[in-house]
Amino acid sequence: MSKQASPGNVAAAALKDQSQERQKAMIAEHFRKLAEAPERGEKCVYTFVPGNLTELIDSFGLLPVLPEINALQSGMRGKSRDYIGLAEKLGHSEDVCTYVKCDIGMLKSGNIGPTGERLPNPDLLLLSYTGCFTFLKWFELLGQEYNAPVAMLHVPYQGDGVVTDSMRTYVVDQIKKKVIPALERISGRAYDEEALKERLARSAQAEEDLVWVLESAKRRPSPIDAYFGGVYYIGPIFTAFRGTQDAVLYYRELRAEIEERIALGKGPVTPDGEIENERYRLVVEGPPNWTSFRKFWQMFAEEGAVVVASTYTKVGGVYDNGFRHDPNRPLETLADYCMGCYTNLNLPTRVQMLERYVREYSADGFLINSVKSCNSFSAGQLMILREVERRTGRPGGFIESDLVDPRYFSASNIKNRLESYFQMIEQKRAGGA
Amino acid sequence: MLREYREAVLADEDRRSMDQARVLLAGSFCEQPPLGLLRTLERAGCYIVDDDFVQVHRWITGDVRADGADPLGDLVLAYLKQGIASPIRYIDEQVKGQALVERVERSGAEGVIFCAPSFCDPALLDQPMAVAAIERAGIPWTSFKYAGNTGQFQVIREQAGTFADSIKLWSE
Amino acid sequence: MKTNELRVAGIDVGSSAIKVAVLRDRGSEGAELVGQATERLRRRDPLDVVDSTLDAALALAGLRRDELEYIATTGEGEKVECRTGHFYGMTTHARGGLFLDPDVRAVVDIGALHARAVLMDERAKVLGHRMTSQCASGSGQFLENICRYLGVTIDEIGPLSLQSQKPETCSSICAVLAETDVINMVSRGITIPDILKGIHLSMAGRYLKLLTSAGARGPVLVTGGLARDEGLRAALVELVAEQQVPIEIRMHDNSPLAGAIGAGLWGAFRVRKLSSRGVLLSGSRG
Repeated sequence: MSKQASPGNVAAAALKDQSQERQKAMIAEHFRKLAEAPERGEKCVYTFVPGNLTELIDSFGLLPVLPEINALQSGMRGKSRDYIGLAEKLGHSEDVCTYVKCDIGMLKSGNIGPTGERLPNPDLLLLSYTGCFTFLKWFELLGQEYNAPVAMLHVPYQGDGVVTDSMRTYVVDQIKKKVIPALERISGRAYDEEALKERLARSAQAEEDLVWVLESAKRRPSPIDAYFGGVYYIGPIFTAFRGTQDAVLYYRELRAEIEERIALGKGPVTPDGEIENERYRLVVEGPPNWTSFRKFWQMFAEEGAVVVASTYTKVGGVYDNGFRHDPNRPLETLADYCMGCYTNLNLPTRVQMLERYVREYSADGFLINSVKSCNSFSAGQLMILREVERRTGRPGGFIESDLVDPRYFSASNIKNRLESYFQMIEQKRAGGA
Repeated sequence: MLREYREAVLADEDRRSMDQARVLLAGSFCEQPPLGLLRTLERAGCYIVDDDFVQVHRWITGDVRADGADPLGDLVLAYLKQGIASPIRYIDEQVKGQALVERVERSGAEGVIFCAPSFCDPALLDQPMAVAAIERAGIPWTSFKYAGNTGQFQVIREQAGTFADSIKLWSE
Repeated sequence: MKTNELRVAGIDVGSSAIKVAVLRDRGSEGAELVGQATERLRRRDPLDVVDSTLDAALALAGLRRDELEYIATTGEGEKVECRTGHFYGMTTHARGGLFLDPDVRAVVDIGALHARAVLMDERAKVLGHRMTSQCASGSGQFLENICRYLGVTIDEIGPLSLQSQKPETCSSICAVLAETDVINMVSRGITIPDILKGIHLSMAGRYLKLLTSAGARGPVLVTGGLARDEGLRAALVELVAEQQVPIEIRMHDNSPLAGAIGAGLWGAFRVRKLSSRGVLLSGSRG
């Protein structure tokens, strides 16, 4: 980043925090295990971030693989352009989700994961269907590519904005009758409820600390960026580590670090240093772009824009509404977790959530990053924009990009839009003063 | 209306079939594609002998049980068990694309045109699997997308024309 | 009529003329062009012109419509009611090209609205193609517009272009801009032959690019309405020599008729193919 371009909102680059180092080590260890799995005879389960049943998978001694995470990592490592190109050459439409094409392209290029090690083939595709239709097709495609069995967990959409008893029973029944037998079959182990409960108890601990960290952004200045920084904070709990002791330690450490930042009155850390002058507080809806993640973040940081709350950081589980995994109701709590994931919520609930964020986090406005790939996010976003604007009276902004297709990230367009959006906030302030 | 149509067809003594390629149109199941598109395909040398337009109206194959004690239950069962194979349904243990191959055989189609609206996720995500099944069965195919609000079909016309020619001239 | 013989007609509905070819086809023993007619549209409804052109060609062949086993259309002929079947232009130009010159494995079809290079095998099966984009430059229509500016007729273009001493390069490949270019040239006193040759060279350059990018080699037949233009042909030959492209540009008197001929021949091919499967076509609607 050019320092000249910075209006003094960002200080010199910071050292990596201890929690970051821990997360890095956890990830490296996990991918090492995956690479060695075929040799050691360990089995693995591919599944999705929303509605992942990590505690259950882990209780059978199985290793989870999350294709979405691999795709976003491929995007960050500059590999996605070629992977997507290859998938399109193989007949996948240019119109469909680029995560899917990135994953298929990676598979066809030797299935080398984010750490440079080979990923094992799936022994089971655990298809948790939580509000994203693409998931169905993604695992049908992988089922055909790997000739692997698929276990379908159909999670009912919260169309009326509530979870009813019969919805919960419907999911629990499937976990009992479909998912657990499939996991038993490939692991050769019987279902161990005590083992599951232990993991769920650890999940709840980590969730408690995660929520504390996310809510720390209610302070002024916010000690965190809850979108660009947030995606790192949700990493462990959204992926392979929920329910592990590592995750408990990570979140305890992270919380301590943030407590320290608060005590020192510091702003969020960015890859280019700290934001010292918090000029705009924003709520962001929609996933980030991964291919130009750092550049995207810089566009905010340079302007002193801090994201104080985001919906993307709820995609693998909404915890700031009080939900915690409950070891006393192991399967019911997994069902509630699945049904509560952000993309499984109806539009009125999403609007309410955004409205609450704008108010509780004292945001100056909210911004939608509408990604071409993701219909489960994008459908209804213009309505959301108008409605949140109407209810909060704060200006809404709208930018467009994509998850991992670099062809749909136009830095100059986005920068222009952001600049005029920030101006709009300034005008609003001047008018209100 | 159907009756009138049937009578009008029978009354036209001048009817004769032209030398066209018999194709099955797949992927426009959500609605009916623009009439101009269908006309374009026919003029380009194709007879559409089977399709999946407005599939929701022919979702249940066969009759719903009418003499059971639990009519609602029977309706649900018919929906679940007698539903057609379609990209919009998840069917456990299915052989992807097999149902399409069977439809090609039943309709006597000589080829398949995958014709989905732009950005139609179910159709477009499903297509590589359907194509793989069609190729395994040695059935010629082509694919394109259309936009519901356009009247411009020049590119489609060329593609469909080339496809019809290749069926007519080179298919065994 | 010989036992193995089929009588067929091909109708090429172009955007400026209707071309009809009537053939007697004896399968592997070859075919003979026995009647042909070309009629310019001159703003008439193509469907009206089709009838009279077909009748004219049939009269030359000494045949009636109901004696035809197949009436094949190509070009914009999809609306012609009397057709037995329709074939796409690329397919028919390949077949017609091969009929007119059995050595060629590529044709460049230059019509009123577009041009395309088509590669084929020894059966006229299309192996690849390249087409000009939707824009009008490099097409017959463009050349007609230029004629109007210069006050010459289409038939005069070729001979005039051949007289050029010092062709004036046409800087633009856009039809609209090229027309402006031409107006400038006239006001600068450039002679008409030099202007026309410049345009021919610019067009020929585009066709050559189509051919080389499609991968054409060896003899190539020019087909389509503009094949008649000897100035264009000379420009093509000149450019091939200058750029040392491994292509030999060929022409045939009936080159403009290639589409109609190809359509008729494919019609006969279909009759044979279907009858070998026991399918009889209902023939033409006379």
